[in-house]
Amino acid sequence: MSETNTIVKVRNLKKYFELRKGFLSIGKDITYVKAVDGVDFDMRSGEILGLVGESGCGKTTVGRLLTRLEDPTDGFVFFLGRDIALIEGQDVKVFRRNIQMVFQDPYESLNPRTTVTQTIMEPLLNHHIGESPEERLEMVVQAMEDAGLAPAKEYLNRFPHELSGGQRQRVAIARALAVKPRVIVADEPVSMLDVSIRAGVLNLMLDLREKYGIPYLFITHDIAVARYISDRMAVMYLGRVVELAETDEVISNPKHPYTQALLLAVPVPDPDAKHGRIDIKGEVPSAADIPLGCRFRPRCPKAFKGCGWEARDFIDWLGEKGYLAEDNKLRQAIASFHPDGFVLRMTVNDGADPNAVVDLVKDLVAEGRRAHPLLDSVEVIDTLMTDRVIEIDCRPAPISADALAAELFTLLESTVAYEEPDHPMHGIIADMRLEKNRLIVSVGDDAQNLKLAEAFLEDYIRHHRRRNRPEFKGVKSISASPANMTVTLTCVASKEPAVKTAEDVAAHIEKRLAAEGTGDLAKSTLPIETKKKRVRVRILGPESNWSRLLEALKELVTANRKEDEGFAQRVSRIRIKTVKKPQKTVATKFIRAEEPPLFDVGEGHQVACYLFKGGRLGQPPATERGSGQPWA
Amino acid sequence: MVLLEVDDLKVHFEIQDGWVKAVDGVSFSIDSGETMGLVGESGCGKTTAAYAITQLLPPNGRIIGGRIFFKEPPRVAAYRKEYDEKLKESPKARQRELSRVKRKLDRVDQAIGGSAPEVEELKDRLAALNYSFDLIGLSKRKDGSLDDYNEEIRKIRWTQISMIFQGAMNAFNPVFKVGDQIVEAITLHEDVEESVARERARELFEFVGIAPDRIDNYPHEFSGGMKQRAMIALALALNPSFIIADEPTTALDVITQDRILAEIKRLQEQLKMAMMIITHDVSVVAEVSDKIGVMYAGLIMEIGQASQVFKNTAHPYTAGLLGSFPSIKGEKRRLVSIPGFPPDLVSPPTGCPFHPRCQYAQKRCREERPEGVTIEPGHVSYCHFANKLWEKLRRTA
Repeated sequence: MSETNTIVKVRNLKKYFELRKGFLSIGKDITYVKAVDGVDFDMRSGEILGLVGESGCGKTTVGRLLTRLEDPTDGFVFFLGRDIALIEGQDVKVFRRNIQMVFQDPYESLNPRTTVTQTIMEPLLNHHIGESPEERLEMVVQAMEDAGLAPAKEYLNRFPHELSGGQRQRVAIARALAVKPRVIVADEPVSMLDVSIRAGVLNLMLDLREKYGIPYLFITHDIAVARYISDRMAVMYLGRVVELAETDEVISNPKHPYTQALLLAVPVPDPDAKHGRIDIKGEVPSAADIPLGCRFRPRCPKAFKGCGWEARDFIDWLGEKGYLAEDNKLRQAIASFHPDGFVLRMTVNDGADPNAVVDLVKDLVAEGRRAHPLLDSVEVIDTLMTDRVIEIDCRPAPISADALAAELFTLLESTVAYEEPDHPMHGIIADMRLEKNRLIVSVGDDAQNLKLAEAFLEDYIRHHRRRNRPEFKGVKSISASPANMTVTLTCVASKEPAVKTAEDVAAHIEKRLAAEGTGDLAKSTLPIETKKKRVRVRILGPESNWSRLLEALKELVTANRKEDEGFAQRVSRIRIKTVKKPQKTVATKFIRAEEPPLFDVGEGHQVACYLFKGGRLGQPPATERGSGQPWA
Repeated sequence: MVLLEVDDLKVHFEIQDGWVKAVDGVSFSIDSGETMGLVGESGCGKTTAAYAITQLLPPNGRIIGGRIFFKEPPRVAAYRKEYDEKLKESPKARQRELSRVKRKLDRVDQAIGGSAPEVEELKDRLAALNYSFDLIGLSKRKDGSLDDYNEEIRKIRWTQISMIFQGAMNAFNPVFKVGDQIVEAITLHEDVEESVARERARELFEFVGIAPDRIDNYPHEFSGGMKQRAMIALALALNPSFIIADEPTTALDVITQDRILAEIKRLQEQLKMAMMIITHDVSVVAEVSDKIGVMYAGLIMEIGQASQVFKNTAHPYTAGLLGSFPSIKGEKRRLVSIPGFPPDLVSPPTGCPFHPRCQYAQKRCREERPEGVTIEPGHVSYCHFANKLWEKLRRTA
């Protein structure tokens, strides 16, 4: 694995904390604080990666996930090719030795009752490093001298309270260094230190990198510090990395509107430096209630049509423009607003005519269209029949051994990019092929590689089985054959649970409806919901839309097309179900947008912003843009 | 016009091991409408100096010496300086002069009376001799501690000099509505109806950029930046002429910090308010201050206009501080840290307190506390070798 230079690989990492609201919330949906919500980055050997963001953006949690002080809700951290969530038993100790942490507060991270020697010696003893006490003492002295506590003799028997803040942080660094880790995670290591001391600790960290080539993840809120110390920089906002590039590139050529605003806000120690301002709107939203689409959109000065505007933005806008004032026609016609993601349901007053409300909303949307990109992203405004829902009941589906192997093959191919040079399996896995119910992974010629690949695949299957692919228990055996240099995964027939098939069916319907050219039918269909083994579909507009949609769905499931194969046996019944008393309702549906992934804009510069979709540098095409930009 | 003059202020704290010499002879002045930044590392005495001005020292704080003149008319200040020079270290001579001026005033007052220029002059002379505009003199007890509840001081505090406290997060009482706390401050000092005070509070909210209807929210319903804005509103409530802001942006994120600094700049421009900003962050000071004082170990090391201190740095400590501060602008250069660490103020180093960490230190630095060396008009460095080092220290701008 020595040829790969990626030490840590973080993929789609998530950490949700449950938010308990007391006993009144029992039975209600649990809300989660999404501290980390899909983070991707790599750490390369010998490199300092700066993780920058405002307080509450999740940067500290990322550090804690990397060191396994927290378990992720989803996603992976690969450390030297292994998924750290799967490291067990004795290996945990090895892992902990290899990834060390330096904490923010040197007044709290050192035990006040142990001397410097004891503090630094402890990890050596824990990990059985060093043959004799003398040797260990020598290591302690070496680590201290490396950390700039020289002459070490003077400090060996001191207690933390006998040291200054800078010296304490040096002890913490020496403690991390003593076990010769492969990675150091440093969480705000200088923010508690006095300005005149800070530079010394930063320089020390740079020198140590120079000397030992240890990569750091340097977590900080201070962009100037990150600029000074890091080679690459990842900017986080509300649980996600929004921009990632070489540090100089981020500083001199920031692309994401958030990064731009952040950089303009940093004060400069020079009274003549006049700096501009982009005032982004409002405050960071709560991590328990993250905006859909691009999460920076509500504050973004450059947001446009395709950023994922949602119902509550519309309500805010209505309020701002005075449509919700008591004497407004719209307000008088509507009894209540029910924002739900990309759909806004409005319950119409008894006396009012829903169709008139539809026209009213259409008019005001048409009027405001050029002024605010939000209105540009209105897809459909129509009445909604609330008394019915199309329910598709799903059942567990048997999955043949061959199909399972095929599915596994697709998954491995799409997620294990062993052909990329920085993938941990690069140079280890040479090829994968499918043979009926067996998946054969061939390995480059090295017995060591065979073992690594086997361990990796075992971890991989186990991980997916635990998370959301229970059908992988049909992977009966994983066997390495040194003769052929292959690892063979043999599958037997298995069963997909109904919950899983329901998800499949929902995804399938969504995809097909969009592709089918059903035009207004797909447009008017509300986002598809799954509840356990049931898929629920609703559509805007008159009765006739419902029957058409039902027909279309039946056809989708029963059709004997190749790509639809198997859906008939996953669905037990499709019907329109009457759910409650009809209510006069009008709904506005907005163009749906997913969270923007990191788009590559060249030379390793990645930006999570739809302005850069497809690596395009610059502005969105005029058609997508609305007029006012930046809008105010 | 000079609004506030601090003259040789010394504030010490009594602790078990002795006395912490937190402020040990600090002098500076602030003109009306001017913003001064006081920078220094933690424990350098910058906050203590500010609290001495508002007379809010902890119980173990003692004023060991010095005076703080507030709103002293220029002529009084001139007479005061004249007398101080003339009557230096001779209380008896001052006493004699005092009774002489008093007698003369009585005489002239009876002869001419009213507000004749001559009477005015004598009154000013009397005020100068009595240090009438000295805040410390008003409330200092015999043992050097301050009487927080002194009526005269309470009249000045908040109506004339108000404060934006460090950590606005905790400066509001969590069990009262933010608006009520502002209303309370107004009605306590001014004889106005509560409804009038509420209206003023709403206006203040509007002024600092918070929706006026948030007046009935509790502090926990505000974000950090909003609390800081509300704190500014509270400080402005009684229209003071001088505001002290103690680390106004320290706990805030950059974007919020930027907004608050913009707010502070707006105060300076629109209300022409004099301010003193206390911070450890050199870049914050650079952003908003006209004048900068650099403090270290209870003493001012260097003082001058912002551009003078930043560009024509004339003290090794200032140079060290600037050299150890990373920036996002300009060339990336290696930071230079100042060796050693800040001294213990119970037993500060003799002579220049910075000498143990100073690469230019010589014998004289260990023995003699430096006097101010004027580098250019308004720019003073407290370093024996300021004139010599100045050329070397000033950064190539």
